[in-house]
Amino acid sequence: MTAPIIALDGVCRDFTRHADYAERLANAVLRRAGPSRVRAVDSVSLTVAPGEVLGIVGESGCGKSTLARMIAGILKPTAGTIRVAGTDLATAPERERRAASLAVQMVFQDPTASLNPRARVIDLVGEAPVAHGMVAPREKERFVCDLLARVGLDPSARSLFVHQFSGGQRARIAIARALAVNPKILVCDESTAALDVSIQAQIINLFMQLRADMGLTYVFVSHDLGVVEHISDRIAVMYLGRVVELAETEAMFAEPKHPYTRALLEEVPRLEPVKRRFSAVRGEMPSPLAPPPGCHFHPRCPIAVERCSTERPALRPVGDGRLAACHFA
Amino acid sequence: MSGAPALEVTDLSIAFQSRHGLLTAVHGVSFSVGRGEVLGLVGESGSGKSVTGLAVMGLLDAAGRITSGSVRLLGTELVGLSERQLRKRRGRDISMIFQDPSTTLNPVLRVDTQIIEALTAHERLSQKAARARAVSALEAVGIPSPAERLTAYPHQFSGGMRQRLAIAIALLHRPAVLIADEPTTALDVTIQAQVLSEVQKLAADQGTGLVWISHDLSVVSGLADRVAVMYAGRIVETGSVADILTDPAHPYTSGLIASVPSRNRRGSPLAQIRGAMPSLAAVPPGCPFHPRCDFASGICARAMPEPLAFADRIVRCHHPLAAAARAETLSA
Ligand SMILES: Nc1ncnc2c1ncn2[C@@H]1O[C@H](COP(=O)(O)OP(=O)(O)OP(=O)(O)O)[C@@H](O)[C@H]1O
Ligand SMILES: Nc1ncnc2c1ncn2[C@@H]1O[C@H](COP(=O)(O)OP(=O)(O)OP(=O)(O)O)[C@@H](O)[C@H]1O
Ligand code: SF4
Ligand code: SF4
Ligand SMILES: [Mg+2]
Ligand SMILES: [Mg+2]
Repeated sequence: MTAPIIALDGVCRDFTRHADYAERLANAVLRRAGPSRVRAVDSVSLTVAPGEVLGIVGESGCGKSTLARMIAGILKPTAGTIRVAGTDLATAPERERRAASLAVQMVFQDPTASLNPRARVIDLVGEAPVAHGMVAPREKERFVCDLLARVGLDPSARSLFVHQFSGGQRARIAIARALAVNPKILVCDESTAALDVSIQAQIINLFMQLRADMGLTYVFVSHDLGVVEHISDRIAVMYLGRVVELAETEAMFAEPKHPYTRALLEEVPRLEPVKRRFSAVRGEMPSPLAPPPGCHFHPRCPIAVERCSTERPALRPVGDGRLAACHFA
Repeated sequence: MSGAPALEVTDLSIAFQSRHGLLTAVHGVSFSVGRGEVLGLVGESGSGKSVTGLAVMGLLDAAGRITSGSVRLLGTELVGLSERQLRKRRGRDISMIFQDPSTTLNPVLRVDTQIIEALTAHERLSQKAARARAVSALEAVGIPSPAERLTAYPHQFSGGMRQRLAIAIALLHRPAVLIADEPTTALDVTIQAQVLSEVQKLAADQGTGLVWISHDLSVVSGLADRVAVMYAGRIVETGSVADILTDPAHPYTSGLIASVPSRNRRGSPLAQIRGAMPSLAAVPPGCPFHPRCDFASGICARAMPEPLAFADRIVRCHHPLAAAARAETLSA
């Protein structure tokens, strides 16, 4: 087996949250100390092989973005280690750390928010590689034109501003910008979520084309299971900060092992010419401020027993190289 | 009128006053919904779905107006009614729910106050009877311990529960028609499924005609009886869910279906439609889809295709795909 290009070991991230007005009021009235710490990511260990696409799925607030930002080096873990291409981002010497952090680039959901509205495309895309000495200033224009063509944009649009592009074109600009520093890994956080279906298909095809051409590794975060299923080699399912199942895509869709994965896959709207009866996992997503003890999923789990509410199930091998965190998987 | 559909929209056009003059956002849209029937109105961003829903409700903002066409609710014409007359109908015979439930809910009023207000707007009820109705309304949309939840404020509910509240209020008077504008788009998959199941059950039990607006063909395919597909302000195809998914007649519908990831072999390139939807100010002449269409011919760039009816379906295309439609064009 080749050495993993990304390796996470026991990674945690806590946030201290400031209670909003209503919460403070409730806390005061009920004389309780407001819980204020959220464990957004809870002891995640996983690896990604070079050239692999790892999908991360789960519902709102489960910690996908927090995990993605830590892998991209934008956010520090509060515990555990993250190694990218063999380098521990927290302890490596400055030069090594710089190189490693260029090797992993992030593509966000909303390009309008992550791209400076007053900069022209040529600068948005060309600035970083020039600043890092990867491209000579006089080469910048040609470099940017090549890159724009590569992501399917007309190079003659290089002097325009972001607001002059459609949603799909903006997504392409964000991708060109990430590719400009010649990364090995792209971390995509809901990069197609804001796009229409017909445009989303164009961008997913671009991601797959770039992977084939440049041997990129992807961490692909999305709440859209159809998209993740299509693009990923393996998938990690998260629930309230924890990875509850990790398996190869086909195996997971064929036979989900964790009750939460099962529920999630069942409820994905499918394009089928038959009316269906929507049923659903019972209950709501618990507050991340006070997650249920034991297995976080137990209040909603159809097969939960006594033990589930006290004992945390470890993410453990359940055969065929798969992992699941359930006492009964 | 007994035979009239719950809602019948005929040749509806809607325009907005803008810097570029009067821009038509919706062109000659026609559809109807029977009692207990679910119509899915599908299309990509900017295709005119919300504007159509708002116009039917008489809720267009000041810049927009209906320039032609008719909206008949239980056989009665709504276009041309005064705001006062419309208000008598809204909430009683026809309701709307939105992607953001706070459009319907007032953040500073308790839930019971809002529900009782909505009830007494159209019915004379004692406080006690109104309370009882409010409790059963919350119960019907699956809100646990409804009697206690009544005294809460909207912000004390989760997103999914808030959307259920909005649905409960919209269905208080058992309206003949409910227009739902992407009410589950912002919700998580498991919560979306809960809300869909409640709406599906209620609409069937109460015989409400449901217009379900969505950009997501997958959601609509599980919920609707019939689908109308919109592109650049026009309905380009209407038919049963089964017909449209298995044998789409319009090249745009076919492209949309093909680009859904689960319809493609994992890892293979997705079928894609080239280009993007035109903006209102730059809609191409002829068939507005022609710059993106693989089947376009000379006539497509010159003439707008007329609606073609066949086998209980309608398509607007010079070169329709479905086998049945082709037979029809040949015989015509
Ligand atoms: N900067 C922050 N400060 C405080 N809490 C945070 C912060 N960022 C995230 N959180 C909390 O951490 C948890 C995980 O958030 P995260 O954004 O990673 O979820 P997500 O899975 O990406 O959700 P979504 O699908 O909504 O994007 C949430 O409870 C969130 O409120
Ligand atoms: N108040 C308004 N003033 C001017 N133009 C408007 C107004 N509301 C909508 N439009 C225009 O009408 C067209 C149709 O908009 P509409 O909101 O109906 O689209 P939609 O199909 O609901 O899209 P989405 O999926 O993004 O909600 C768009 O081009 C939009 O810019
Ligand atoms: S550990 Fe128990 S509660 Fe958790 S998923 Fe497994 S059976 Fe359900
Ligand atoms: S009318 Fe012509 S351009 Fe329009 S959808 Fe049909 S074939 Fe394509
Ligand atoms: Mg996120
Ligand atoms: Mg809309």
